[in-house]
Amino acid sequence: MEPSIFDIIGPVMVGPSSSHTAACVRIGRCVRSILGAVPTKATVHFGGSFATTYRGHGSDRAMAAGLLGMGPDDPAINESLEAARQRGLELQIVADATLPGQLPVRVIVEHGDKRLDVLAESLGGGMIAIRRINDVQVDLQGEGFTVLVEHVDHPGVIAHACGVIGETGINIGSTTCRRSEKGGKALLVLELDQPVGEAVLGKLASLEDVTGVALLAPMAEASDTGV
Amino acid sequence: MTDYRFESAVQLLTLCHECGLPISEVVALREEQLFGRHVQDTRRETCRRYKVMKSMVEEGLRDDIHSRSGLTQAPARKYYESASSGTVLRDPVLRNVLAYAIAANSCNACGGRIVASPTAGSSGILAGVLAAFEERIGKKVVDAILTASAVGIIAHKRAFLSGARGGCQAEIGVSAAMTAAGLAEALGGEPCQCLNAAALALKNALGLTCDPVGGLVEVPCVKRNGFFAVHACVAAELSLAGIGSFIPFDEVLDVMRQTGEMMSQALRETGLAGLAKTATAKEYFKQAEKDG
Ligand code: SF4
Repeated sequence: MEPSIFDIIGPVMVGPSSSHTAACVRIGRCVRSILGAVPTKATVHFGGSFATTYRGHGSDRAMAAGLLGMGPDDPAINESLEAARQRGLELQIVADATLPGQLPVRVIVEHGDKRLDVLAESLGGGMIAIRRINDVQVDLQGEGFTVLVEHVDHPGVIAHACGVIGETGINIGSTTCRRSEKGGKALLVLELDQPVGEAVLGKLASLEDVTGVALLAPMAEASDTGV
Repeated sequence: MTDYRFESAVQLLTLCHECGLPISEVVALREEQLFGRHVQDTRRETCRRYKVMKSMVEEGLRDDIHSRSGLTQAPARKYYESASSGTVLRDPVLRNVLAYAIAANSCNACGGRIVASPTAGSSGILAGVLAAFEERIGKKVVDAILTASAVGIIAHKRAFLSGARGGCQAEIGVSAAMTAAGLAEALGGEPCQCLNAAALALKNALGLTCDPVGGLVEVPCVKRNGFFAVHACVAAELSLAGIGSFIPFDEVLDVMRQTGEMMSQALRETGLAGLAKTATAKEYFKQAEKDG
């Protein structure tokens, strides 16, 4: 990934650690966007050095804040565990040495009958990557506006989804599609030059064989609420 | 069309020479090319982030600032007041560098709003140095931040920017290198002098481990920001005086990466060794637990 000036001089955030605090807020926020709601239950597995330092670095607070939709520079992060309790988000933390990667976090969230299992990694300086969504490997680093289309691996779905975006006149910068297995769950990742509105997301969601749709804003803009 | 991307200090220098531009302008053009952000907008946003840096210094100089753990209690204020004319450091700017960097990082330790540069644990260095030099360099603080970011971009691409991956050399060391380069440009240095300042700064921070007490970002981090802010000034001073680093920046970065890879994980932000495991550290937390 090409880092921006403001990945290095940034994020604007509440500390104490960019890799252990701000990154967790961003990961939590991403998970919330993919789920489409504040979860009622979240189990967070902290790996790597998170496992021993998440308390001191406030990674638990940060994750709660992100799942509640806060940005990394929100002073309310300091009180987010209390806020989570009040808003009915049950948060469970597990130290997990088995996770792959240097600074990995696994977040399993639930809302109603929806369940989502995401593996992410903190890359340093507040930058993050999403490595896996449910059973599908991805590499999302939050550079642009990203649309995720979860679907069943059947012919024609990708063409239809791209068609819906095409009608809006918005350019698709990149596409990747991965599946868990042939005919299994698949995830189409579309990076767009501009965001799409609710109506377009609704249209995508109503396509045959599409099981879920989410829009992720660019990490840097979504997070630094002052920008 | 010129491709403004760069992977190394050598490539960045070549770009500066070919375009006849300082590092700050090349990196702003890169931003425009890659992310469509106009140079003016980049400068404006940089300015906004500098304002956050100044607020970190202000916040950290308050006499009532303290962290949850109690390990940080207005250290900058204490120094600022007791050393108003300087005991060892007679230059007021250098004294401010020391006080402001500690102040800015205290703000981080105490839950304040900060701008990571490149990380939160090392966020006091650039902020402290620039706030102390603002009177002298004026609007060039923006150029300094842009140049600093270019050094951070190379470090991110060639090595890493986190204590968990490479020890403190990857945070404080890189931050000092970024700051040295930025300051050198703001004081009239050529691009090669800026990157040479970065090499000097990082070379002399190699091997620095990350072993913060209690897994908090306070001991040694807060005062380490003060030490390495002065260190960054020394690097810029030497470089502007024409003193070269025998090992160029790219190679120093490669060494930093290798050193980080060789470093035991216990010394990479896990709190399992080093200062975190001293008798004093353990005693403090035993006592804190007792006191609730
Ligand atoms: S000791 Fe560790 S936590 Fe503290 S500034 Fe250095 S890298 Fe960051």
